[in-house]
Amino acid sequence: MEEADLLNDLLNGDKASFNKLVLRYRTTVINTCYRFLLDKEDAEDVAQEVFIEVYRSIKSFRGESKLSTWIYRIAVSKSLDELKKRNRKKRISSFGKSMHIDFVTNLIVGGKQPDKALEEKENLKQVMKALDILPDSQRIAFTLSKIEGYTNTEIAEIMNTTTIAVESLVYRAKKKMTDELTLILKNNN
Amino acid sequence: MKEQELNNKVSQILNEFESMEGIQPSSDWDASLLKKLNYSKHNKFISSPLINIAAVVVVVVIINAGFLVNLLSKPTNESITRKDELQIVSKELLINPTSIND
Repeated sequence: MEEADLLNDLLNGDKASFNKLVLRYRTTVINTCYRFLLDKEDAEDVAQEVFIEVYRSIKSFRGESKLSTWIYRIAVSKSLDELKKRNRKKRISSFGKSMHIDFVTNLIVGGKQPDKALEEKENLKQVMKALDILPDSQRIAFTLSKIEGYTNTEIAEIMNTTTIAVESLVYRAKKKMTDELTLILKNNN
Repeated sequence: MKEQELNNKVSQILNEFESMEGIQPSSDWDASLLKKLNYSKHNKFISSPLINIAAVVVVVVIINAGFLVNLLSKPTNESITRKDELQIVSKELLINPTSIND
């Protein structure tokens, strides 16, 4: 079914078409949230919030962008909101922060060889720290560029910018991440 | 850690993050979404912004009405006798009221 047909059915209040929409986009939405939050459980919760938002506001969708772009934009915005919530909590309790990272990394590296898992867990902690210093625009561009299925054109549409700007944001983000990771590793030794 | 070693480690960390595998939704994800969706439909009326505004307006009206009722229930025209009037005037003029009565 074409996106336009799906949208028409949705606007006509066809409930089955909403199920089709969920089925079509759920994996990408969950993976988008997961890339930002690095926590499967949180990603699944936020992805559900995304579809609830889509269900509620589909009537206000004006078709200025593709339906998928609109959905992914909601996913990015909800993920960033969740990250902000987390950071507020972290500020309240730095103990909670370390607990959270341990919890997240345990989830991500679960089921791997202990030594390898431990190393990946440590590495992921550093990445999370480095990602936290990026401005939102760089974080969005960099994170989306690492998810399978997002082209620079699509990222540009989601971010309401040009593909050249996206390329520049990804480049700057990667450079900043490299610098930050170098600093973190230097401080750790 | 030597510079070269450090650079290698950084690029290894970045590569690991970039090549991270995607995830598949849990088996109960759809059922859970359906539950949340039904709950949100049920609470749509309560959480509607129009309803919230209406609730605030009703509270403001009730407070104002209470204030007005309270104001109107107080006696406004207190009977003032001539003696009271004279006492007020004498107080303003700093005259001993007993001398007026005399």
